[in-house]
Order: sequence, then C-alpha cells, then structure tokens
Amino acid sequence: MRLGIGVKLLSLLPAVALLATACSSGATTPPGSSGKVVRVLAVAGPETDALIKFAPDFEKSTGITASIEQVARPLWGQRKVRELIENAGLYDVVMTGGGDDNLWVKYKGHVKDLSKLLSADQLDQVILKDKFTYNGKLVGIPQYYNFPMLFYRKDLFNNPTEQANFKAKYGHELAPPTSYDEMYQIAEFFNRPPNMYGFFVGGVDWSVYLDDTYFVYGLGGNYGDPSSNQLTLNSPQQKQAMNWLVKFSKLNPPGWQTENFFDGDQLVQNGKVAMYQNWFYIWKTFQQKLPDKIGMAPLAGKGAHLGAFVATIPDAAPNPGAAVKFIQWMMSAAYQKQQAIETGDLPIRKDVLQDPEVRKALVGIEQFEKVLPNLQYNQTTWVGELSAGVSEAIAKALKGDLSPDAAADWLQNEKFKGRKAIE
Amino acid sequence: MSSRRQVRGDRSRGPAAGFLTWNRRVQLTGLGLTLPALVFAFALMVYPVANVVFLSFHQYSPLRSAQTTDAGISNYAWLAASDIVRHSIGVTVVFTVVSVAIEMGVGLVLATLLAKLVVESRQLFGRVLSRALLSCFIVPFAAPPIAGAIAWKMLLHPQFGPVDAILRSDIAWFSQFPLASVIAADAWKTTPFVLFLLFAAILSIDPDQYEAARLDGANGWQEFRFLTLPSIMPVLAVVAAFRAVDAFTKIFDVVFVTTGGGPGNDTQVFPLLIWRTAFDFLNFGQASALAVVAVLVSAALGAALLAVRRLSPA
Repeated sequence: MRLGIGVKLLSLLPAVALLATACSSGATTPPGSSGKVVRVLAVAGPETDALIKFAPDFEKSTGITASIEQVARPLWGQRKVRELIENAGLYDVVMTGGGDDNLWVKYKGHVKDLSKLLSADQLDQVILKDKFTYNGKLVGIPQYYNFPMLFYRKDLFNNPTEQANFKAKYGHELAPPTSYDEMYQIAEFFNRPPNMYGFFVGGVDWSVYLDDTYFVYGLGGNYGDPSSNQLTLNSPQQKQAMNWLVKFSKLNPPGWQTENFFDGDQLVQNGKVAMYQNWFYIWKTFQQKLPDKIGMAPLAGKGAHLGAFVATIPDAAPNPGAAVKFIQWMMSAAYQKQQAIETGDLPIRKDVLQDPEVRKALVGIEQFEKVLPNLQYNQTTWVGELSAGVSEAIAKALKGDLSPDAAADWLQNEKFKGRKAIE
Repeated sequence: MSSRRQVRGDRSRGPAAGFLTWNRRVQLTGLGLTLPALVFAFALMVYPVANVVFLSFHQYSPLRSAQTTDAGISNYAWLAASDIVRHSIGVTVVFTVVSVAIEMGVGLVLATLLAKLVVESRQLFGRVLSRALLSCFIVPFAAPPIAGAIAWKMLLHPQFGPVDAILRSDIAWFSQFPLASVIAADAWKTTPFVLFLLFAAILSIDPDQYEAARLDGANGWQEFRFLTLPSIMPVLAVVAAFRAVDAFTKIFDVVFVTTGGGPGNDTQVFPLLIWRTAFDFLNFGQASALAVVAVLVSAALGAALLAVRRLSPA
C-alpha cells in the first residue's frame, strides 16, 4: 500500500503539535483570550500557596478564573522585569519583592497607578501605603508583611543561674538586647562550643547580604541615596555594620560560611545556637515545636528589612479589569484574615490587624507592631548585583584580606566606582 | 548517475504519476520528514547559540535600559579584565582536572575489577554479586543531582552529619575544604557514568586475547597494561573528553546546593558565575560573553584531549 504525500505529511501532525505544545508557555489559559481569567506571576512559597488555596473564593465571587503561576526565584527575577520594564504583556498581576524591587518598580516599572483604580475606603485601610507610592502614584499593594526579628533561647534567658552569672559578668540583666553591644555580650556569654554557639549569620552570599541589611538598616543606613543618586556603601553605618558582622561571625558554629538562614533555623531548633536574627516566618514553627524554649523580640537596631510580595498591574496587562478585581480580593478583610491565620504573616489592613481572631492567632503581634513603622527597603535599583558585591566585600573582611572599614571603602570606591543608586 | 535519474524519471511517467514528478515527490517527502527535526534543531540549538553570540556583542541589561544597544567588544574586554572571571575560570579548571582525573581513575579500576568478576564468575554467587554491584553503582548516577547534593550536604554537616560523628570531629568540610568537598560529591555522582562505559569497553575485548596473553606468561598487571588499556584507549579518551567538557560547562547543581559558590568566591565555578550574571544581575550581554567563552574553553578542552589520543600510539 502506498500512501500519498498528503497522508504522509498528515502523519507528521502529531509531532508538529507536540513541538508547538512544547514551545508554548506553560499557562493553563492563553493570555488575553478571555476576560474571565486573571493571570498572576508569583514566586513559590507559603504566601503564594495561601493565594492559591483561597483563590476559589475569588473565583466564586467574581466568576473570574485565577491562574496563579508559581515560579522559582531565578525565573521570577527575569520575568517580572520582562513584564514591568519590557512590557511583555503576559500577566495581569505581577508580584514583586517589597524589600529589593521597590525602588526600580517605582522609578522604572511600567505599572498602573492603583490609587486611581481602587476605592479610597480600601486604600485607607492599607498599612504603610506610602512605602509604595512615588510622586503620588501608587505602584503596588502588598499582600502581607514579614520582616526580621530576633529569636533567642527563652529558657536560658529565664534560667536564674544564667541570669545571675550574666549579671555578675556584664553588670546588667540578661534580657533581649536593645543595642548591638548588648546583643554581642549575650552572644559571647552563651558561646559554649562545641555544644552551643552564641550567634548565627548565614554565610552564603544572599544570606549574608540579608544579615548585612539587618545591621545597616538597624544602624539607620542604606545602600543608596535616591535624592543625590549616590551609593552609600562606605557610610559610617555601613562600616559599623560590616564590623558587627565580622564580630558576630566569630561566635558562629563551624560551617556557617556555606550555610543560610534556613540552616540557622535547624541549628536553633537543635539547641546549637543561642540567638539569631531571621524573618518571622519561622516563628510559627518555633511556637509549634518549642514554645517554651524560643522567644522573640524586635531587632536590636532601629530599622528592619521590609518583606512583602507587592501586587502590581503592568501597563501591558491583557486584562487590567480582572487584575483590579484580584487585588481588591487580595486586600479584602476576609482574605487578609484567612492569610494571617494560615501563614502567620501580618495583614496589610488596619482593621484586620485589630481583629481578635487574628491577634489570637499571631502570638507576639505586639512585638511585630513595634517594628512595622520602621521597615526599610534597599534604595538602589540594581539589588541583585549590589548584594553580590556586598557579600564579596564581607568575604574579604571575614578572611582578613581587608579590614571591615577598608572592605566598605573598596565596595564604594573600586567595586562599584562610578555606579549610581538609580541606574 | 544519469541512468539512475532516467529510471526514476521513467517511473514518474507511469500510471501513478500525478502532477508531481517522482523526484519531486521524493524530495518533498524527505523534506516533510526532516522538517520537524530541522525546526526543532533551529529552535532549540541554532537560534539560542546565535542569539547568545549576538547578545555577547550587545548591552542588554533591562534594569538599566530596556533597549539592546551595540556594545562592540566591551563585554569581552570586561571579562578579560575581571578578577572574578579569572578566579572563576581558575576554580573551574582545577575542579575539571581533578574531578575528571578521579572519575577516570576510580572508574577504570572499578570497571576492570567488575569485568574480571563478571568474566571469571562461573558460580551463581559470583554472578549475583557482580550484578548486585553493578546495580549499586548506578544509584548515584540515577539519583537527581539536587537530591544527591543535599545528601552530601547532610553527610558532611559539621553539627549533624554522620561523617563527623564517625570521625569524632567537627570539621566543616564545605567551609574548610570547599573545593575538595565539591569534587568528592561530583565524583561520587559521575564516576558510575565512566565506570559503565569502560566496563562495556572492557567486556568487548575478545577473551581469546586474554587467553593468549596468559599462555605467553602475562600476569594480571601485564594483561591490564598491555592488553586492556590499549584496547579501551579510544573509549577512555572519548569518555575523558566528554567528562571534561561536561565538568567545565555544567558543574552547577552540586555547588549551588552545597556551598553556593562560597566561602566568599572560593567555589564560584564558571557556570554559576554565568547564571548569576544573567539571572541575579540581569546583565545578559556580559552573561552571553561568559557563555561564549565557556563554549570555547570546553571545545578547546575536548579537542586537546582527543588530539592527545590521536598523537599517542594505540
């Protein structure tokens, strides 16, 4: 039997279809094909899990299908830039990072002004709305708030013998520190290798950069100054931060140089570390597993790193109407309450923050409230490259190649010579 | 040639001939059959490589500017002057040389012993043992790279790891001996690949040659040195070249999971630097220039190893 050319070519159709499928995007619904779908770019994590978990409520109330795409962080970095700077037009809502993306989204992002799309009643409820406003334009709405806190061995702090010994050595009470000097004394006091170490700093580049931010923001500094468009990498606060990092790292358990704050979580849970600074996502776990052992307090410094996913609507969004409805649902009291109880993150609404159920669920909420007004974010538009440089400078200081002060000067005058805060 | 064309031409004038000649139909069918492969190759191989080369001569850093602008050779000038790039290439070359040497050495020894066991085991126990060992050796190769790397991180953890517990030490392997630890983890993962290829090559040697060697009074070492090794040398060279190229351009997972390129930049291998430049710094022009260099270095490595093989007496 001989087949004609048409039949032969027809037989190739499945292969061509397979190829076309492979080359197409992984979205469940093509963008812009229907006003009944809102496509959301998000990054994998418990907060996005919460969005997905409760999205059926949104779908039920609006009739719009929520296609929430969870991507890995490296992919997220590239995609949000493609959407918000290069106008790719694939997503209706793009989640950005509150602490590291905020400045470039404000200065360079092609995003819609949400103050014109959301009602005044809704916007009045949003805590720290000004953090996301630039020249009167509201570039995004945070999904939640999270930030670093200090976690310490409450059982040891409450131990009368430890208290007496500490007071005898340092002349004041053993209590959660309110200055870096006090924090260092406590870390030094509890540094008892190999059974326990006084402190933990994650040494992997991205983790050590975050530790650096805790000190820099805590000391009132930042990495750039948008008003002068200059970098501030060797400011007095930066130099002090670098010095403290080097000092505290000497009280770390062996191997910290290649570990990150997730490893710190394990070390604290296993009694190997007396105290560390970390995002309060871990607080829920500590509460469940070690409620009598671990305590929490605000960081010793003045400021703290703002953590939040921030929902933006790209100018090129295929379905901006659906995007507005999605954000309205995300910032609704009902969802904010569900999310706070589910994830342990702080709600973004003033009324939900006062909700008795939420306050009961978020143990230590009073501590969080003390930190909220002091949240800071990186004042440069190129945090990825900058953070790698900062960790490189810290590595030089830790190895002893440069003093901490010289490492800060190297960063400002050599590594990033000629660079601007906003590029 | 002309007569063959004539024959086909005659067939095209037969009763089945339509508006297309036989030759034309054959050509179209061939084109139709190869088109998917061509499209696939162009979409997934030619276009990305061409785009990388194009970008390497351009400035494309969307956080600075959404425009792609001509950069001449400035990206290459940057990488030639960069201490980080030089350091990263140095680390990757050391990693490649040492890990490939370990993999080839250990793989060769194990392949030889296993082949001997398989060939000489006439008893059931020997046959079962050889197959069990072969099955065991496939495990590291079959394990997902990330899972394997996490397992190594746990094994060598200074506080909770079993290795330090057994040694009664608190050595922070990935911090104190970062490159050596990464090499060990990588060698564990890829040695089975070498082992199986060499094992197959050894088994393909005619057993009569071994019998003849024994009749001539050769001992085990002499059999290996003068019979096994020369016989598998072509395979050995190709495997080494393949592994060298692979190690230089693809070492990523193990480093990413275990050390993250640290402490400092001590284990920042070249693929990790490319990845960071592209996806952390979003500087695709410089990342593309780095990628082009990686391809050139790995091509040079592979060609050098194969050239050595051609120059050496078989």
